[in-house]
Amino acid sequence: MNTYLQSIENLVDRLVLYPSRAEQSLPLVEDKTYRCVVEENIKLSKELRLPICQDTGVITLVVGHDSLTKEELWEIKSSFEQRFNEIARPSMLSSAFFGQQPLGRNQMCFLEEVRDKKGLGAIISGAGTETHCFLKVYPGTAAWGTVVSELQDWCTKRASLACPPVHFGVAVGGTATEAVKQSKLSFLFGNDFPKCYQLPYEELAHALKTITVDPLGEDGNWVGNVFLRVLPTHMSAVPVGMSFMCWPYRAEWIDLGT
Amino acid sequence: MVLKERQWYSYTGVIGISRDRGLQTICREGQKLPPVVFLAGPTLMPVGEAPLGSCGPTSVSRMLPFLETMKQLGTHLVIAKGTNSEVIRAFKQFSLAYGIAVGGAGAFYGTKIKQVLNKKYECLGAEGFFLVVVEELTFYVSVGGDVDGHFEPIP
Repeated sequence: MNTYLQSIENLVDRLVLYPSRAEQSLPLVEDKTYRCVVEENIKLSKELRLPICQDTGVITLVVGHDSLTKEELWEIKSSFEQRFNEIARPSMLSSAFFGQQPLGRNQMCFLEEVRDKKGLGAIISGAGTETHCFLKVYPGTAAWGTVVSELQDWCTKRASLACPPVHFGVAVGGTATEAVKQSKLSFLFGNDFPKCYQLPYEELAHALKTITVDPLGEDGNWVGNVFLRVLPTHMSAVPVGMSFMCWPYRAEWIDLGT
Repeated sequence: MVLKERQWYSYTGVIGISRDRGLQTICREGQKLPPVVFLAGPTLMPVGEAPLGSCGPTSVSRMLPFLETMKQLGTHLVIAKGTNSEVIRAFKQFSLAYGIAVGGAGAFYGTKIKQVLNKKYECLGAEGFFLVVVEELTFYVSVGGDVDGHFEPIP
């Protein structure tokens, strides 16, 4: 339990101030001035303790464990929220469309548990990427090529509205809820699919990595990782979820061993 | 100054900062806007070098419905993030210049704000309106136009 609590400060700092994978986006930045701004931003955020992006978003806390009690999980969540709220932008929205009011330092996080890993992680969902989430339930008879083509079309129209270089997480199967969740979790845990999906994955990755995604409206391709997770699903209803991740890559996982 | 398309500039001077509900309120009330508006919502957690905290651009796509009114209220240049054909078409339709700032660069843009002159709609928090002085605010011109102010091209 203590190892979880002791990891919170490091986790929040990495999420908001110096995401560990932000610099991995730099080689994808094609414009010299844009790159200078990104580099300077990474430096200033760390030095001045200013959030790397002002949109500190909505947080999903991910706890990997096999033995924590409900009370212990609640303590971890509460401690995380307290620490996060010391540095995050105060949100205004407590209830969508109605009852908007300042949340001040009381912004909550959502909690996800994973059972096959021990550690603590979190994902920031900002508006710039959240706006472009994809969810569609395909019939079991649909062709993979149709799915790839529709995802490619979706990203072509939207990816330059986010904060490129962008990364894409796709999840196929499960339930509609699970597909979107797994597409987000791919930013923490990467690919997870059976061997028979290797070629379909390569087809998907190629399709998304070759589209025009240029934050300046030119013809560049500023796409980073494409992740795929595949789950067992219903024979005639196959959900496909997709999430975007912006260049600062605000998804962090701290492994706490076995 | 005529801002040329596909050129980076830095701007020094007064700008308005607002987004979403703040902008919606201004447009509804018909409040005057400055010539340069940066669509952003600061963290409002100041550090010495950043009086409003982290303050990078927000997505322009949500603000397209306000462009026509912004133009009528005095704005000539909007700086935000994101682009596609719909965005460019909208700016051209209303003869507004559009500058693209680097998304996700909240710390960088936060430190470009040197002085806060006025705040409105503080009850809206980050979505309020802030009149500020900036130094060397960096942006890329997507849709050009003639805008008064101190702009320096970045080679």
